[in-house]
Amino acid sequence: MSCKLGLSVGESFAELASADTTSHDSTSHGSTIDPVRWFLPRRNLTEGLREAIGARLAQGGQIHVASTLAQHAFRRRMGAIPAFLVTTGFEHWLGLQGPVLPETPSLQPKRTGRPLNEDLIFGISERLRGDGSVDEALNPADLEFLMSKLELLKTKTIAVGLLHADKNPQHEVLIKNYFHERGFTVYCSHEFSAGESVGLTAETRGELDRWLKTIEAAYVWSALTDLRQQIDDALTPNREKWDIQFHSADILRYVAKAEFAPAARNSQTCPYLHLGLERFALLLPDTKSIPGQPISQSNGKSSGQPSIDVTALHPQTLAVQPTSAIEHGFWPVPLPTSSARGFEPGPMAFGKSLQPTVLDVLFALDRLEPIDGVSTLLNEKSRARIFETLFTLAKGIPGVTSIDPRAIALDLETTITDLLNNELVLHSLSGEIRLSGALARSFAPLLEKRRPDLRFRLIEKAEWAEARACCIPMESR
Amino acid sequence: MRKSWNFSPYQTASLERLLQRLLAAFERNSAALILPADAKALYVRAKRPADIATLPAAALQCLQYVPLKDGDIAICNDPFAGGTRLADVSLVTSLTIDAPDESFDLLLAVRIPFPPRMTLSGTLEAEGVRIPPMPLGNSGRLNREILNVISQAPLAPADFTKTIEATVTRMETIRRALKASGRDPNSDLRKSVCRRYLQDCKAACKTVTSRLTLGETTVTTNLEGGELLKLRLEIIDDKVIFDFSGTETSSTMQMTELTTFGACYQALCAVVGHELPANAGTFQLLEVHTPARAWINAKSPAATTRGAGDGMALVSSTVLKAFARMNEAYRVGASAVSACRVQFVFADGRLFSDTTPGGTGATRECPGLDGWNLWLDRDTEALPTESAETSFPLMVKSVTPRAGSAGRGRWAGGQGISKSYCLMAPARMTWALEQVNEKAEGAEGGKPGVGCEILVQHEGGHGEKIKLATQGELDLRPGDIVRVHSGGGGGFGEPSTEENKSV
Repeated sequence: MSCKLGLSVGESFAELASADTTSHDSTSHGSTIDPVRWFLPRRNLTEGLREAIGARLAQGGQIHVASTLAQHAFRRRMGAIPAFLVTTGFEHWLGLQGPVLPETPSLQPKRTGRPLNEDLIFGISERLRGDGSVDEALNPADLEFLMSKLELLKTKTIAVGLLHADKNPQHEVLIKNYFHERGFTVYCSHEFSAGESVGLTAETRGELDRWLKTIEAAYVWSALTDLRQQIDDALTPNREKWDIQFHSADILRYVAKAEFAPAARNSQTCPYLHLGLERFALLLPDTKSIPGQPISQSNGKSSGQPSIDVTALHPQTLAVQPTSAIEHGFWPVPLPTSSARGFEPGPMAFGKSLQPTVLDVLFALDRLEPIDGVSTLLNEKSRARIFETLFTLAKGIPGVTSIDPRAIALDLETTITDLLNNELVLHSLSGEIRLSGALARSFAPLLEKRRPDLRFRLIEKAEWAEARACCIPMESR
Repeated sequence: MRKSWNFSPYQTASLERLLQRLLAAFERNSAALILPADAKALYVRAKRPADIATLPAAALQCLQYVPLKDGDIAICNDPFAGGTRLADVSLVTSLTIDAPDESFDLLLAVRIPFPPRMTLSGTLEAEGVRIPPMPLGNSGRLNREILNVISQAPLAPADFTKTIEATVTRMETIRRALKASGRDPNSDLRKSVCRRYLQDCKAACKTVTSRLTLGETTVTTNLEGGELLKLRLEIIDDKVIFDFSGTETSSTMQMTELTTFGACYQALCAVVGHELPANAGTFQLLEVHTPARAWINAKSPAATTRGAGDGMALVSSTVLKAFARMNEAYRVGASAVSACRVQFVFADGRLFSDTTPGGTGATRECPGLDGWNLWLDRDTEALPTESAETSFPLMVKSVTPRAGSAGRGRWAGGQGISKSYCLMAPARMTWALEQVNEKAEGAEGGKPGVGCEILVQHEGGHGEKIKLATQGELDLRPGDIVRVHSGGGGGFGEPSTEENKSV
């Protein structure tokens, strides 16, 4: 009996679950496996996957893979960096429009999210007008010259972003054909629609948005190729018995789809608060948030490259995240920051970091419910160090002579719950709110206490929502 | 309330995060909440520094002239009734928070930045339609007659009605969220907590500003036309005093007193390196004195568009210069001041307005940033090229860092930007530059950045590039090319010997 498995690969954790798991007892179902989660810095994807599949490796089956690699590949420059070909005169345009931080006045502003080094950006002499008509035709001789430069750089992936290519793609198509024939993988901006994109604010539209998406796609292709190789290695020597399906870059899109779609049919939609290990997000049941079929997917056996979807909807990331650092800012008390620090070096509870995070506050107060793949990482000895650090951070409170670090942790817990509640307030949510994600069980009592007027309900197997959701697109097709 | 907070700052910080999150829904627009009973700004989310003090003032002006009940909406853009420039329109709505133990009123104000119209006439009316505080709707519903009258005025911004409608819809959403939060028995949105928030802000801000070096200093800067900006900065125990006595009048650059306050506030924030909450609590730590008739305290009917742009940057830059004179830790290369705004008005009345930001100054630790206005509104972000070319008969030929514009130094300043436009239809161009001759200074031996300039190359003019004066108006024909070169930022520290040799 073959398996159908969902594999969710995040920045630090991977989780695997059967599509049709009804019980964690693997002995009762020949086609299922125990859901499992592992910490990628300790056990790589290949080892973890091989161990999780175990004896079923020879039986074969399907693996549906979704990954947050799209976000990470871009931010962390994973995979091979692509070259970017752009209309001459605009080689620096993308870099100059990158977001500047901090948002408030600062003597040292820094531009963030620059997608490429400028020595990988090349101008192409061509120009289309605002209506798509040709002002300056593309000269194929320029491409030959460019070819020699790209060969020197040893890059095999190219992103192409020409002005007004969405109105007239003929120049981009010419470039794509030219380089494709010479063995390059080419992504063109006219293939991507407008909308929000990583690294750009919603109001920044037009060519910049399209170009960024094109570059993202080029990055992600390379990163996904690495990912696929790791999965292939895990399945060796029975690779041919497994069908691998790659899906959208954003797993939460599928979490939403898995839960919204059946509910929508019964006109019973309600919002989702996803409290995953790596990300807290709110998914609202409006037309924008209900995803349709995956935009592209491919069979790992038949296709030379995994298809990707960087136009996935964007679940609303919350102002507090599981790895938000607890820091001393303007206020004379430690508070959670809005940005996630990730799991490198990880929360203090993992024993390596010196800075407490939201997860540490829950751990210190003994609020963390057991989480598969995480509980073994928690170091009981670090609890005392977390309280000690909170005490140090709170020492500067004016007029306070005696500080109880547990009281600080409790205040922080209330603040964290308030921050989650702010999202519910902003959207004037009422009635039932469903919770998913590995941390949902830990937060449910806090939310119930904070908002007794709302009904918080854990979805079925909430802890495995991400891996289970990976299988949904195929099932509902 | 349920909470048993151990430390008051946790409660006030939690209230702040709630207001922050709700007002963040306005994205590009500045937004503010005001306690009308106390006539105090509770929380200002200023996307542009000019709005820091002006937006609460506009809300209170609206309340003074329009009796606002729960859900009523008022509008105004008059710079002399709490505004900044006519292109920045304020919407104000009132809401009653029905908390379980007490009810209280709030004003919610939002500012919408439309593309500004720049004129050299020096009078306000030439810059757009002037809207004094007036009612715009009741119970969340817009009065479309008033909206139509405004939108049909000759100088009304494009898409006025559509933008106002969208913003009012969003205001209504946030108004409902605030009211719902007020009804929540566990919420911190209480009058008593709001008042304590202001006190806590003042106290926390005092802790931050107490680290500033005490003393006083005087600095001066000249406008492009030679007019003086004089600042005496004095830091005493619990106050930072900005005294602009001695500042002259100007016929070309004018800004309101409250805009000047915002410029001082943002420079102080940059110096202390903290995001200070902007509200009545923290405002008390600043004292800003502006002499009557000085260009930083303009009176009606002065035109304020240039003042709300380059004028603000000049004041903030001067404040930073004063701080740096009192404490060398704040010494940095100066940033280019001018946003190099150019506008093209086409025959059909369409207005294209764009800026080209200069470079920022280098600091002790890092080089300056290319093409970023340190002090100016965040709306100086350039338009996407495709949007500009689709909406207007022009082509943007190139946008590149301006080579050689940055001030040299151990760390170089940020480079200015070179941007070229090619006109495809007749248009009248208006431009105004600042700090063309007085360049962005370097610090600690760093060299100054290159000043800004605009060149025009007429179609059929044999490639001759004509350098334009610092401000003016010019009729352009199809095929004419306008090149805007913004200034570079000042460098920091002596340039290396190697570099000196090569130069």
